[in-house]
Amino acid sequence: MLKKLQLNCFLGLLFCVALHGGLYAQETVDSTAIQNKEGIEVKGYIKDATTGESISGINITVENFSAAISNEDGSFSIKVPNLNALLSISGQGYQTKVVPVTSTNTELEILLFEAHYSQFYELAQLPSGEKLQYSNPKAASVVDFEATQWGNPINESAGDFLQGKVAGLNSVRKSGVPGAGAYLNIRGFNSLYATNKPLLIVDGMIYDDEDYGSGILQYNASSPLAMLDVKDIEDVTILKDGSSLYGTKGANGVIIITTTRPDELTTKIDFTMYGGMNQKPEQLPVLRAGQYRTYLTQLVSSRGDSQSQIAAQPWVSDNRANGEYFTYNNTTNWQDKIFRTTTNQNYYLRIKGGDDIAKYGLSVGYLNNEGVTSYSSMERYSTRLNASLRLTEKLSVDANLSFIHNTENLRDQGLAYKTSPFYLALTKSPFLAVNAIDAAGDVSPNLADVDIFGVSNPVALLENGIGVNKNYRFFGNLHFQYVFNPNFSLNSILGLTLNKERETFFIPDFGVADIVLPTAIGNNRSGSEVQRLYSIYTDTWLNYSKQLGNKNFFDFRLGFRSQSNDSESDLGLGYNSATDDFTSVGSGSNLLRFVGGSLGEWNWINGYLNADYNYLNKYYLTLNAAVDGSSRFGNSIQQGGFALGDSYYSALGSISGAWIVSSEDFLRNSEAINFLKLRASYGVSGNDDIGNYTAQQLYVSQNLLGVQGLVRDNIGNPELKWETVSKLNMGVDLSLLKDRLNVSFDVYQNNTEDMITYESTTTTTGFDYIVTNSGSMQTQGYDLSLNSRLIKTSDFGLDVGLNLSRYVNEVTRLPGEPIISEFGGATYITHEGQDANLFYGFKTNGVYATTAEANAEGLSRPLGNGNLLPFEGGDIRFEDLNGDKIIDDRDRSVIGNPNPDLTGSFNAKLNYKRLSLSALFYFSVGNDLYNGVRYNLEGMSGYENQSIAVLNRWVAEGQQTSIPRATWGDPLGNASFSDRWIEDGSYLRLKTLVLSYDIPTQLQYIKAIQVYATANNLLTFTNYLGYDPEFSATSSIFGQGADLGLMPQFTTMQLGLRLGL
Amino acid sequence: MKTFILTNKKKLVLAGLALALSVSSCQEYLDVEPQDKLNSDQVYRDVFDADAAIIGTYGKFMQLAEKHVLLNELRADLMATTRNSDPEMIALSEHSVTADNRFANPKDFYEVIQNCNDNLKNFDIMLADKKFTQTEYNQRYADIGALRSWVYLQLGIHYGSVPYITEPIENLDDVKQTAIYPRITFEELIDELVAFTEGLSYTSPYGADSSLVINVDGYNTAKFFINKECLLGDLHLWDNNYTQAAIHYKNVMETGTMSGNDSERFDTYRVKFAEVASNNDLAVGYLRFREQDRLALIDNNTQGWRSIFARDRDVLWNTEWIWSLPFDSNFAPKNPFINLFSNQGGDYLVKPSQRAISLWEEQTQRNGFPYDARGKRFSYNVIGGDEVIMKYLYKFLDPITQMPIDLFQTDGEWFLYRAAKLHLRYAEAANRDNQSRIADALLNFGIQSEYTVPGITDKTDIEQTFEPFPYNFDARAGDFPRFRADWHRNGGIRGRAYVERAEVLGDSVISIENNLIEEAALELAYEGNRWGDLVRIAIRRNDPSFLADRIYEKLNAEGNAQAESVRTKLMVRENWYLPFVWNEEE
Repeated sequence: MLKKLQLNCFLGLLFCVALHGGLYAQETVDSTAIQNKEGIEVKGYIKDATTGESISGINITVENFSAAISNEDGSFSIKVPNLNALLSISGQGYQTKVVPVTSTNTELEILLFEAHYSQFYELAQLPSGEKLQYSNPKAASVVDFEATQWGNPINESAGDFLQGKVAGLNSVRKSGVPGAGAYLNIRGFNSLYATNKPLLIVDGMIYDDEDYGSGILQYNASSPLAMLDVKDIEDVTILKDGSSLYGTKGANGVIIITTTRPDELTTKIDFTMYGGMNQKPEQLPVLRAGQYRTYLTQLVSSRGDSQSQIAAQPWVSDNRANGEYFTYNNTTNWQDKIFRTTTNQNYYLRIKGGDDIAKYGLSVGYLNNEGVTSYSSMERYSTRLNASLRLTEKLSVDANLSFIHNTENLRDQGLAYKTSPFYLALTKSPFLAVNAIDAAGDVSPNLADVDIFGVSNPVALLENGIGVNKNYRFFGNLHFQYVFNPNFSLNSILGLTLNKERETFFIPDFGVADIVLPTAIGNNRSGSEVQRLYSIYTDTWLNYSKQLGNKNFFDFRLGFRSQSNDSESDLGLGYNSATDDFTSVGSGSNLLRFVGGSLGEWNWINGYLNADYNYLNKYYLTLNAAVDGSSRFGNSIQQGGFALGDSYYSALGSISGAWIVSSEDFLRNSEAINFLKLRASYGVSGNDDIGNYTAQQLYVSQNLLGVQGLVRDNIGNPELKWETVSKLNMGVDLSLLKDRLNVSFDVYQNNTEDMITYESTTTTTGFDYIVTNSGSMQTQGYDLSLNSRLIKTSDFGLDVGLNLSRYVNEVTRLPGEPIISEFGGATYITHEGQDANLFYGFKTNGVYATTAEANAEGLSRPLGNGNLLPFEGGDIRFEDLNGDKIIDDRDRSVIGNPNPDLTGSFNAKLNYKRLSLSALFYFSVGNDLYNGVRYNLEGMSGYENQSIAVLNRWVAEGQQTSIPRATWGDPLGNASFSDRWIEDGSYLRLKTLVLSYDIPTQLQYIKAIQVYATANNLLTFTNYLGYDPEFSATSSIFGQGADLGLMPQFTTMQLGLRLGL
Repeated sequence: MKTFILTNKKKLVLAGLALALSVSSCQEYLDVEPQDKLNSDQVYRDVFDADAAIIGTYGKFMQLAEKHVLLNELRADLMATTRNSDPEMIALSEHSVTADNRFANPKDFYEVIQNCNDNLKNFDIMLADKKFTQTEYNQRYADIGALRSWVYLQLGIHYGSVPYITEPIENLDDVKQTAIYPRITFEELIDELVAFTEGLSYTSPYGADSSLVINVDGYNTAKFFINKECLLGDLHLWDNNYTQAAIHYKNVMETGTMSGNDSERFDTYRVKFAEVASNNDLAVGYLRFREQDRLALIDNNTQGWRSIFARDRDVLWNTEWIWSLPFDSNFAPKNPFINLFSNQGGDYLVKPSQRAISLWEEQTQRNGFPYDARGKRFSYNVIGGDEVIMKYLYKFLDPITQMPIDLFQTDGEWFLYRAAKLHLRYAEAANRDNQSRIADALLNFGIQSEYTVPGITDKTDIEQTFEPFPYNFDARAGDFPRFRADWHRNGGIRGRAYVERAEVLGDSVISIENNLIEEAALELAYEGNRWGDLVRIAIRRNDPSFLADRIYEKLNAEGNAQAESVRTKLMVRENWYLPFVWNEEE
């Protein structure tokens, strides 16, 4: 606390100095430009681009010089200081546009489009302030939410919503779990071990999107970003390069989100309500009872069970009198028991209004979204107050305060073999029943217990299990602004993030397989975890703009940010409570209770300077510089940055320039080219996700019996520093055919230096690795975004757009051996000179039709004790890459790449009168997926039910098939990680289809009534055999593309009504 | 510029002040100490921190248990692989370990060494900063120093030449330094270890009042810590300084001498004779008067020779055990020996070799039975058709059913040093130091038996060695006049094991040494000594065949086709050693 006080004192002092300097600066403001009203007269007329009609009442201004309003016939005349001046044209309902004066001879024809039509005239929210995309030299995209947010499917969060909307922003929905969020990155990845998430800025403040706990509900992740209501967001700016202003947090680009702006003077109320249906996913085809019985019989005989032993199995006998007949002769479709078609609903109210002094935007929302199972759901209450107060002529304060509360019902998913209902529904024997059945065949209302195969009853987990995640976040800040004069202002943001997440679960004993604990058998189990994040953020800056003559324009921003964070996670696990009615950790056995948790604290400061220079409104140059200090950095960094006192600081920066070619004389009068801008930027940013304390030499506790001692935990690396990512970007923005075709194209190259690696050390250090900045990586690619208005008449309009992006990654330096990592049954290799994170396994080449064929090749597999087991007929023919006739780890090679070759989207919007239909298709091409679900369904090694593919399994000598034989325990590793499980994950999806109708209303107090019919995930075209090709089970890059069987994405359809009052 | 400074003096002063304050406040703001771990500023602040460091290092040391047993036994001739052993274990047994074999990786050893290095360096700093007393320093420094020497000795035995690193790793430069550290030969290593360990200024166990000697979770910690005198004896024995070795061993053997408690004085580390009446002893024995009844063998967890491995840490246990660390199922690490040895509730990865079995079978008990009960009755059993090494399983398997009492009850011990080993090692030194008679006496039926004169009641001038320290033994037990000398209860190793004396053939020094080494096999099998014994003698005699022949006999008896080629290989000393892997992933 003392530290924080001191920092505040320092900030206060900085204010004083700044104020002092500011007052001084005020006296020297150059005001000559404004006073010269002579200028050159320019004439023109303004038309509506859609209707072609002239429009009156449009404002035309030249900044700091003159202003005019268009006449009845759309004509205007305005004085400009010189021929390089920019006219800014704005009017109600139209997109504000800037137009360079071309000449005084001809009249300017200016076409205005509806708001948010063209990317080039959108207002980007940059770290250095608002900037019109027209003059922005950086690679940034603005997504306006206004147009599409009202029709958004309510199970799509902000991250999902952005999918396909921006070239270069890669968004992968984590799973179908409501509120799961998305795995986001901008232009591929830049790091192996540090985060690849872009920095999120919400209303000027860093929005923390990390998960600070272990997540005791298996394979569920929390996503704070998903808490933001799409309808609360006004626009999002995606900054792909030149993010150096955020210093060592900017390496992965920045997503800047602006929520409701309190900008209305009249009271405006939006009320929306939605209701819809979540359609249960299409089932995977698994064996029916009879097929499964045959399969099982063959399987157990392969482990050596004799015919009489098999005949004695209760599931074989067809003797109705033996007491067990009815238990083992059912036909249960377990997937039917799990999946449901469910509903969702959402209510949202937003009020904007105010007066000159105080304006406000208040929203409240309620959302209830059931997943596609009967127990899964997400309920959310959200409220937000954004207010803008003008306290004095010069001092204003904006408040952005939000509080969101979520309650989610979840269950284990993924590789939780005993407790994941999805996994169990696929693999549980179909001849068993949900409920207990007695000898007479009477069905009990009680559920069936664990079966003779030791497999849990998925319905027991649904009905008697508990899995709840309650989380809330307060996220708010106050933004003070003191305007000394129009050119000079002081701003300060003071913000607080308070996030708490409480997760509890209970797995009943009855109906669920036991687990083996270190000291006992665990029957029922319970857990509770609380995660907390407390973060204080400040950002204080001075803005100063200056114009020298009529040609040179300067903008400066000098600022200072600080962030102090405190995270905590506490968890308790309990086992073996007396009965399944005692579901809390406290009622578990005293001997078996486990407690754990973690604490984290880290502080960051950042001083930054932005300088924008504009010459003749044609040449733009931006310089960024940032100096960062972080508690995470080591204290004897060798290079890059500088030391001040005992602490070490980074020094990062970027330069970007733009040239508006279309403003040059030779293109001024071009009919075809309306706008042409060339951009280039080079910048260096950092990534400070290097571990809170990794640089320090740490000690952890080590027990000797029950006494705790201390041992060294790591080799601290006092030289540890941020990862350095340099970004080179070249882009072109082009507008053709009277702005009806807009194209942006960027090529880029990101180079990561000082990349964190776990460098292996010699065995004599006693440690496996030391964390060092010794790797490097490169990502190259391009983004293309194309939007076109194909048809426009007053009644009918058709817009189409295309986004394409591609990145290619290469690890350029990695000390030591390749990194081989495992995730969810998949093995990955990261190798110098290759893409990071490639699938690494065996290559296969069909199935041996006969044993003679197998013997002829003479391959074998080493068993655990080193003995070799030869392959036989019906085994997979693995490729023996090293030629030693033994199939082992040395025969593995790269068998796939989870990174897509190309991702993109295609959108179309059709308007007819008041009716509009918009569709967004998203696609991913060339990415490989590991189908872990199919691995479980075709492995043929245990009691698990299998997919119908195994009906083609090899059963007799000479049989030609691609499915191997069923062998108990799979001693020959036919199911081992190989290209059998790697599938092409390309897909094309009709992500959203929205039909909306604007109901005409004559009522005075109703401004608008709109109805929406929205479908989400309506169609997916893919060859992928799993539930769905889009998933992401981890935020690490080591693990992308591995399908663990998470809740699949599903189709939703909803109807919505929006009332504007 | 000058005018600027003058006119803006106030502002500059203010700015300068702000800068100065900001640098210092930033520095503090950025100086964040870890919350759920400790950094180097938060440790080694007082004697309790020092104790915690020692506890931590011993906790890490426990992780060497399995490797210690496997390296010393599976490479030697008493232990063999089973159908379940993995190829790396088979390679270990067949002396064909390659660099990618986990046993070629010395990391586990260095993990302990590096923690020791960290302890020692910081103890020095603490002493310099007066954070604990000289006495507290001496005791703790000596303990950790000795432990490090013990680990280095093991490294030397198995890897031959190793880098002798004594400074902790604290940063990247240190990491690079260790990578270029020179490897020194085994002989040089022994010299280094002798010099360092002899330099320790405290060689007794921690005093009973030490903050480290406490009762914890049902165990007294006194015997958790290394016995420095035993280690010094071993080091000198490896260095062929026989007198020095004998001195250090004898110091331990006389541990009970000053005790006022008779049973402590006569029993502690003196290898006491059998209590034939009560059987409350550590000897191989039979119910009284049923010595010819095979079924009367004392075979339970609280009496007789078996109880050495099975009993709780009681008075009797303390007379035998010098160094032993317990595994308790309530705490990590899990007892690795259950998995290693047991075929019930374990993986049964190793078993007694046929050679070991026949060694025991070749003995004759003093009741005429043609075997040594320490073999198939105690050291191993046949369970479900498998020969199972039992020493480590007595607390796990039910004595009657031979099934696990409770799969989760995996308590056990890591056996490191006991009186029998001490006597055998002392005898080895004495034998080479021209005291063969004493050596033979301790090996067989004890001092009294060797030095007595039959028929004489006045023991005044007999039943003792009349030698100066360290060869002074007084084993008189007479009633007229009454003598109960310190060593009167010493029954000899073979006496206690109830087997006939080992005959001395030919050159008595060599013969007795052979007898001692063979006795170590019979008595100490699977306690992690065998390979070291073979190597030590083979080096001392400059006779690789001493080692190679035994390995050959083991493999041959197991029907291993490699036996002959392994023998040829082991005739070259360089081939005794495991490859030393510097970089794990190579």
